[in-house]
Amino acid sequence: MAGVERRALRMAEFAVGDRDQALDLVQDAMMRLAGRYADRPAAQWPPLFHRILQNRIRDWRRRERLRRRLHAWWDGSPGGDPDEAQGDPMDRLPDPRGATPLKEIARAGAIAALEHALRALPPRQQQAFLLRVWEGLGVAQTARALGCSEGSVKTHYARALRTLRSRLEEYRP
Amino acid sequence: MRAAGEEEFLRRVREGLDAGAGALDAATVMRLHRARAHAIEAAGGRARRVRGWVPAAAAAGVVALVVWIGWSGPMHRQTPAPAVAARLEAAEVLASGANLDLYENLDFYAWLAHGPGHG
Repeated sequence: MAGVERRALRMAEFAVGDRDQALDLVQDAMMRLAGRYADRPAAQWPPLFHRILQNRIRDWRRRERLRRRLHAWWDGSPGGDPDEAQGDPMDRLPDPRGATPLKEIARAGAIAALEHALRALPPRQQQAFLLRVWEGLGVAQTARALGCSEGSVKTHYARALRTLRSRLEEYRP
Repeated sequence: MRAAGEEEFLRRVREGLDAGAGALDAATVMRLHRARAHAIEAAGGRARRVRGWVPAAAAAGVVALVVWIGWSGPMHRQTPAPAVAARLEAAEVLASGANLDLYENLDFYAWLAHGPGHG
């Protein structure tokens, strides 16, 4: 689990945009895994953990949407769901290289750009890409974790890959 | 089949993500460790609660085993000694009131508690 938890935290953080919230979600997923699935075969633990974590992330997003709507209704403002926001989210992000133009920190700039590009992906594309590429889950396992079809996973992954390659083209060595 | 350029891109992505995960601050890493310890503790608590009904189940199991051994013994004199020994050993584990849940899930707790070497 120690090998999985850091990646899990970062994945949750990319999804919810807040480290404290991400830590709560990861802890909740650990508790649920330990409480319910200890009797499952060893090969199932990592995908099960990610399935639980993805469910927690989905629940969190639903609560956030509801909270924003209630807040908007209370304030009389239009409110808004970042997922449904118009335009390219990348355009609203600061250029991570802007403050650090020195060549010595080019690598740090590339990492920051990667993380910004990942955060800007639609949620399902983002998590499908991370589960496949970083966590090494297969298409079927990713589909189970995300609660969608294998075809959807392939589509999300392909779109995420295309977007990221395009966004990060200038960081190629 | 992935193209060579795609493989290289994905390799660099993984490298970047690993670097980000490796650069987590000490306070965050500590909170993660605490969260894991908390989960293990909670799982242990659940196992201890299960232990409460184990003696009763064990007693019933022992009775059943004794009846089984006693019944099959005289009727089947050809039963090899190791088989009888295994039955008695199983009866002993049951009678000990040990936490069977914990025994069965030992691999899981090791994986939860330790690093990548455990899966």
